[in-house]
Amino acid sequence: MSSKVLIVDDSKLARMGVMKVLRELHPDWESVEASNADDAFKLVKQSLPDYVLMDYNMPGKDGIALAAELHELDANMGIAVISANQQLEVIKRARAAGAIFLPKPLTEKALAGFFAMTAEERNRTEK
Amino acid sequence: MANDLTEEFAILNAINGGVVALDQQERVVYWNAWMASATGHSAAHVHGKSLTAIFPDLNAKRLESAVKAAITSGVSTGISHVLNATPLPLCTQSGRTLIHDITVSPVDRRPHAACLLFITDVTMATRREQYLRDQQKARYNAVVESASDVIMTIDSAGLVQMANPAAALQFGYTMDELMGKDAALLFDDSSDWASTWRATLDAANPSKSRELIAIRKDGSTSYVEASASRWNMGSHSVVTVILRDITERRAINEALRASETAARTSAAALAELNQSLEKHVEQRTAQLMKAEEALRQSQKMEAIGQLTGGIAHDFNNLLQGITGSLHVSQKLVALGRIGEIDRFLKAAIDSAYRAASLTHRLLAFSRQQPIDPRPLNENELISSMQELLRHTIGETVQMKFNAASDLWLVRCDANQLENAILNLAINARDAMPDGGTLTFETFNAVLNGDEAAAREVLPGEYVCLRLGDTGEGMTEEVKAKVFEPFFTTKAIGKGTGLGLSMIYGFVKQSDGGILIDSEVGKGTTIEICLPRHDGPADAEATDDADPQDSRADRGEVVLVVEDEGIVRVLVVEVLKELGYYALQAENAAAAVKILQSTQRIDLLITDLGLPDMSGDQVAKIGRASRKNLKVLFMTGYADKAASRSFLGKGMEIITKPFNMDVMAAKIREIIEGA
Amino acid sequence: MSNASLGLDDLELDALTELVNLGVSNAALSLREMVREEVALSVPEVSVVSPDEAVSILGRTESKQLVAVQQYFEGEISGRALLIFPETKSLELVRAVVGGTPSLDEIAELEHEALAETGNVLLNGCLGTIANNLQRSLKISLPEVIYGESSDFFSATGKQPIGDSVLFIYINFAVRCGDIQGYIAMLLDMPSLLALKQLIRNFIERVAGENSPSKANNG
Repeated sequence: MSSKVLIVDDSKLARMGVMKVLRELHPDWESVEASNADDAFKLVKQSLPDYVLMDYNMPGKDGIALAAELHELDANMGIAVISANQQLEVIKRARAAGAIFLPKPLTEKALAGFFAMTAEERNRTEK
Repeated sequence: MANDLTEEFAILNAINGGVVALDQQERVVYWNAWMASATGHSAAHVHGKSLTAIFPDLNAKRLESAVKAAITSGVSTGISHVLNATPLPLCTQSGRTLIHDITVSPVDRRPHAACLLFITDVTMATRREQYLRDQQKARYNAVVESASDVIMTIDSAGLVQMANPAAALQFGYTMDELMGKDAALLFDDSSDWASTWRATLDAANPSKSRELIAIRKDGSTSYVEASASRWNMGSHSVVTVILRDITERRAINEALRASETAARTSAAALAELNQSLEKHVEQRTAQLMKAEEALRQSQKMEAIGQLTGGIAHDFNNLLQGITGSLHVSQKLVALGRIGEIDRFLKAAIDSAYRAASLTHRLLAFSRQQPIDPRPLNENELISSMQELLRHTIGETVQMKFNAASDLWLVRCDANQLENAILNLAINARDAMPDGGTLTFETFNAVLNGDEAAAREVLPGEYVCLRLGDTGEGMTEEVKAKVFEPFFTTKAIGKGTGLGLSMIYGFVKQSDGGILIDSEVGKGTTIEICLPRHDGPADAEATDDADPQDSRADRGEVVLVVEDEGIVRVLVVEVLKELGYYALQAENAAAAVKILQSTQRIDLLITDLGLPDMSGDQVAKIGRASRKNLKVLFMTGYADKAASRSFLGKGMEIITKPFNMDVMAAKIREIIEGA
Repeated sequence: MSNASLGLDDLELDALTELVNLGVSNAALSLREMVREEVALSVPEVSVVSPDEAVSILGRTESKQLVAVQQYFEGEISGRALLIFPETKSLELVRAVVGGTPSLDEIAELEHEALAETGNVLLNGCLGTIANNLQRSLKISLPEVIYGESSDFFSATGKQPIGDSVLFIYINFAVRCGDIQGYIAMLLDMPSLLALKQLIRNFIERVAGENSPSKANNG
């Protein structure tokens, strides 16, 4: 089953990096990109992705704030905050916003883990 | 496992610091002697082990990550004792904890990367630092910590870097809250604060203290006096401010200023009041002094008056006139020239009469009897005195007369003027024992301000009489005292010293003036000025021309006995208005004296309540020698006035306060009644 | 932020920014360990400028007096790295790092060492991460604390090489309610910059994989 993934990061390279890891895991999945939180929000409403992977430290609205908004919008959406800023407080905040924290640089293992966790959550709530 | 490098780097055993080399697996490949000593583990013991293996309780995250980073990334890390307390458990040779710094550096040993730890002992340095710090802290505490003034250090960004407990107290913040706080937030006017702090930061010299308004955490304000100074703390320029709470001082000052202003206002008001009071007092005092002076004068006059009854000097003169005449008569009789003695006998009689009248006048004067002022011509008077003068003065002194032809009239008592001239003539004679010239001069004069002032008279028209002698003259001291009663330059028995003072009194009474000019060796001139009288000569009783009925007829004399001055004066005024002569007595004793004399009294007006005797008793005494003495009683008690039980014939009573007209009518009534 | 004239194209600069992001985040983590509180980081701004430009950029900051922690690095790229921030902020940083409520004297005393260690941690975090991601190891020296004005840091004094380019990284990190804005400057000579460029390209390839756009032209 193909899923749609939205990748949000102000750095093009970072987006490319995430896409590369995603392709290695799920080459058939669709991906869309946004470079800031506002564009991301518009895209979410437009294309209704299943998963959103976003950077934390972005100009304007940061990733965790976006995550909170998206979570409100659709609690089923799989949201992950990918960041090099691995301070405990950041991780906690991400969790509180309804997102899973993934450290940068992103590894396949980490991403796979995220998808698995999210699927489990969905299954549980659906039941 | 890497080689044991102990042999290779034996020289490092001499180094005063720990050297540890770790291979890529973080295992010890070198461990110098210092480390062995500090850890208690020999090189052989630790070789090939990781740090965590050697020290199981190791809690040095920094050290571990530093080692990792050095090996993998090639970074060097410094781990200072300042921020890391004893990463490794090391001991000094005496067994104390070894405080150390560690540097972790990558070692370029290809193909194997490795890491070198260098450990330095900073125990001594730290201890010294601690000691100095403690010292400083003690000093600091003694002053800053315990200061009641706020002491804060502000960095160049305006943030509080240091604050003493007083600061926390003053501003109501905890120490934590104060640290790093923007100091501007502690003051009401940030620009005031900014200028104070900035000025100090920029300037080299400490700024002058300023008053600022401090804001506490709760928003309340207080006044503080701020003084600030800049200093360098290491590489930083900081400003230390001391704030003194002056809220109380200000309040006190305000209160003081307010009370001062109030005091000043009331002081000003008081001063004004005082001034007006003073003026009042001044006026009253002046009045009183005048009255006193007048009283003294009159007392003087009284003294003179009382004693002039016995002025031997004056009598001498007149007696001399008499005896002189009789002597001459004797001689003539002896020579058989009896026909010529008539002239001299007449002169003798004349002098005797004069003596009698003088006595009378003097006695009258001593009892404050009014003098009998009449208009007269001085030239006429003097010419009528020539004979007497000639005899009084004697042969040795020459007499000269310069009489003005159209001399104005004066109004005064003739006897008194005669007496005065006589006195002065005698004095002049005495001043010329070897003879000389006595000049009489009369002339009219208009005295201006200065001239009048010199003679103590009002400016106006005067008739002046000058007597000048060529005698020994007077010194300044004598001249000054010459009018004082009892002052005499003559030998005892030769003069009572009352003459000139009497003349002075008479002249003053007549509104005139007297002036002395004298020079030792040259002579004396005495000038008497009397005011010009405008009326016709020999006008009898024309002075008080008054068509009113109540006026006096033939110069009745009324004795007023009243202790209250004002009332007495008032009554006297009434009497004067009516044309009566008024005699005054303050008390019964004085009244009795007058009543028992030969003084003519037509009416006795007396207060019933006198200090020493009751008025009716006085009347009784009076009636004892004057059977038909008319009496008018005065009383403040209306009921007394109503009951006329004690009134005898020719006695009346009047209540005080009385109407002037009523009084006048009553007086008339009584005097004219039987 | 195109700096084509200085050798890096947009993607390379992007990559460099991302590298710096990784590095600074890592540094923040280490700093967090030291201050025991979250360290808030701003998005780093990266630019490559000439030394003169660097002086003027720094000169534009409020305070003239600056403090820097300097470390040398050598390897495939050599040069020196400086963590620069206003002198007025140094006390703040020290206080944050030392913890407790030390007296002003104590802070002044500890300042030098605290700064050195803190700067060391930050720079190491940054440089180390960059080196790792470039898959190169650099030899990085121990820190040295220097005070001065911007011109002092970028001028040739004694044995300090000027370098031809300055890699300027502006970061704002907030520690304990106080904002500490600082710069990390890496001074590189031309060979080093070229080497860096190559290393970045390698990094891009690794990260982006076969999706990486082929380089059109260099320059």
